[in-house]
Amino acid sequence: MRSGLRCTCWIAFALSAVSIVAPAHTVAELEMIARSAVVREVSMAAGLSLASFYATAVPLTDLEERAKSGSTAGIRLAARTAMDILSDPLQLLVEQPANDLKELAISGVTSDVRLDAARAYYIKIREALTAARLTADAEGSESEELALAAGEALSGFYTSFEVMPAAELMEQAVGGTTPGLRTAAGLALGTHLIRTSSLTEGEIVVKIMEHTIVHTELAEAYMLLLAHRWREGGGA
Amino acid sequence: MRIRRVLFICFLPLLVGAMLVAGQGYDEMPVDAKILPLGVRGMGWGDLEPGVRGGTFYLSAPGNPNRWNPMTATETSTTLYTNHIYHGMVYLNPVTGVIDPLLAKSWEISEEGRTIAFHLRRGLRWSDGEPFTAADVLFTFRDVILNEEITTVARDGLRLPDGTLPIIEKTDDYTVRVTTSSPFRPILSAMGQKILPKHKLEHLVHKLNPDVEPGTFDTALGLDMHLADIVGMGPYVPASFAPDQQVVFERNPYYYVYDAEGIQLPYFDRRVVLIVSSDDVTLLKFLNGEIDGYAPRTSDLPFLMGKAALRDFTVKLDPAVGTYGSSWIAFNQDIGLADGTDENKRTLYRDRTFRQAFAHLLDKEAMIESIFHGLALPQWSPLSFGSPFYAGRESYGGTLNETDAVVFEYDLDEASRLLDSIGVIDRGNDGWRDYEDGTRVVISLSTVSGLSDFEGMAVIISDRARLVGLDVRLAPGEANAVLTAMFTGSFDALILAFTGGNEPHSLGSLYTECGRLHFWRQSACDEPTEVDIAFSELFGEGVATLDAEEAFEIYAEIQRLAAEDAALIYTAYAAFRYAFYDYVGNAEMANPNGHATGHSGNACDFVFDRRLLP
Repeated sequence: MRSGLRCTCWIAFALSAVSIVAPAHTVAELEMIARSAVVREVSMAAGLSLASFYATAVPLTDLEERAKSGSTAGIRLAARTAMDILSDPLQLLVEQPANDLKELAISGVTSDVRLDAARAYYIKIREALTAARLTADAEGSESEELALAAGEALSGFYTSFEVMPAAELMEQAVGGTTPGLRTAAGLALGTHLIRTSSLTEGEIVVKIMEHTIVHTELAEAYMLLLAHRWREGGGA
Repeated sequence: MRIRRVLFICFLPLLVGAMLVAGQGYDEMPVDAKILPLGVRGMGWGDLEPGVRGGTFYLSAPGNPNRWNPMTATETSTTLYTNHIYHGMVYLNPVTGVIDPLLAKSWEISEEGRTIAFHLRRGLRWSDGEPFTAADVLFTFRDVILNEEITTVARDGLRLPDGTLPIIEKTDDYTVRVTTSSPFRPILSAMGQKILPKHKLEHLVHKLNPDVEPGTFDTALGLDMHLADIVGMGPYVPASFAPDQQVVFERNPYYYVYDAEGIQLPYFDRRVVLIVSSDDVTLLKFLNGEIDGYAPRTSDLPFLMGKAALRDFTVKLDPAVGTYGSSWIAFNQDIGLADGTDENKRTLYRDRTFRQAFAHLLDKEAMIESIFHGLALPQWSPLSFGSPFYAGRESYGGTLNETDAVVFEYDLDEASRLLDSIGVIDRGNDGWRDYEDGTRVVISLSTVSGLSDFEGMAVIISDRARLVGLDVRLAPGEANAVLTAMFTGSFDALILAFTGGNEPHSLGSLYTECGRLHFWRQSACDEPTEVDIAFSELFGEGVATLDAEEAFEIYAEIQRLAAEDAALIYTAYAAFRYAFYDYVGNAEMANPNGHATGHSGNACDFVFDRRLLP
């Protein structure tokens, strides 16, 4: 009975979301979705699609405000990504020695600082990286941010030199033993879906809703696909 | 006074209008304009699409230009900039890979092959609106390149084997005749040197203006020059330069190249070159969308390919297309010659059977997989894959078939057999091979430390050599020290690379006995071997024929001879890779040949911004 109710709710959510997003090809429509979508990942997909528009059209002070206290995850993501486009923090960080970056990734004062430093660290040492090394780091590192950044870098191996089949990506995105491993598979799955999926926008939203609470990495993979569709379709 | 001011105000719009017209370019397409038949089937350009004008293309460069002078600054860090500004009479077509007309619309070669008459396009203008004529070509070649008081390596490419230089004459305002002492096939590509504006530069040449000191031209077109005075025939002119930050190029209003629909090229209004010295930052700038295209390194690829679909860019990888250049291992055949030491080693390195045995130890497949992640090609020839003279082709510029490739397969048994045959065997029963006198053969293999591709290859070579009892020890060193050792003959064994090009005659400095790059046996200039003499004869024959197919056969023979002699044993070289955002039209046709006016495989005449399409 409970599962039946849950299923009905999902469908209701899906239908309402589809009706919202179907014609989503203009900046105004994307912004409306980013502000009002019930499902976090749908809001974020709209946010990702808005970012480049925000970077060119929204004043920096407004971006800072929206990144900090935007009303939804999508608005905050749009503003944060736009700020990164305008001034990529990694470009300054990556000029520092690798050891300093690693130290900052472990003991930086905020999670954002630690994650940026961790991302810059893996860029800095990329000539020495292998899938095995990144897997080990993603399984457990000296900070959560290092593990997460290792997972992000590992996703690139999954889509290039160490190609992982979609079924395994899905399995690892759901059942990976650490957030780093799940992130690696989730991001690579997003790439795989963009390359191969023929799902309609409505079907993508349904997929997102199926996974949004329990399997965040899967939901985010479909979120990347949805954002790609919206960018492809024009709009922002 | 007041009347004057009123008149001035009244006429000001007319004056401004007149000035604008002067910079607006041709009233109509010049009769002799060069047409790129983009999208027209059957002409080699069918896979490209006509674009639209507008927008800015962003790219990066690792450093500032040294100057704006294409004759006195020929390093790639500068030509990346000057290639935007200047054109030559001929160029290497980036699509077809053959020499095509550029500022010249055609040429005729005399029957005896000593004279080429170039017919220039008529009605063209420099970027400042001055007419382009044969006087500019004559100035460039006779007063600059062939002028011994001016320092330029451009002269080397025009020098014939007998030491003479061509005679360049003007037949009329649009015809230039080039005469050589004997038929010299490379003369055609050598005439692709960038043409300079006589009206802007003649006063800087002492020969033409005794009021200036000799050598004045060497420092001409420096970075302190007013950019408006830099005038060219290329697609762009520099509009601003902020050292260590960027160079902005604006379209040349008088560019003479059009698409098939009559739209004046280039399509992009501007090209902005961001000066980024760090490879790390270049990668991040691309990922952040700050540059529109770049040539990534192998280690960049996971960071790119993982994000390509998410961020709407393409990473073009073609494992079947090698980039220009060659990577090799060499043994110093003169080792100890100067001081009478190392006779065992010198004798061994001079033995072709030893070098061939070593060639069988190169596990190129492992190198390609572990170092280049599969994105490299095994090499056997000194000539780059892209050259139309590459011996792995069916014919001149033909398809690659590798029918006549001289390949020493990775084969430990064969390597052992060959080593045994020359008496390099394990005499002490310690697992290591020895010279006849019982001392162990120890090879010190050096390369530039920090160059991970070479260090990786050296590790694999050392590892495989151990399997047959050869003691190869790695000796990485600082770049300048390694290069000094290379050119002073004070190295043992070396693994490094050369850049490459299309013209096989440039290999002459490597393989002829007195060549500047014959570094592995400098004594050959006084005591040439039979192989050295054979090379010299073949290179002489190669430049003497103007028949491309005949030349192809000669250079194929040179490549086979070089491979068999194994003085340089070729390893593997990275395949073509290029990353660009999907909104860049025609970027997918990027070609490793680049373009006379492009770089990084991105041909700047015909790329365009798809987002501007109606």
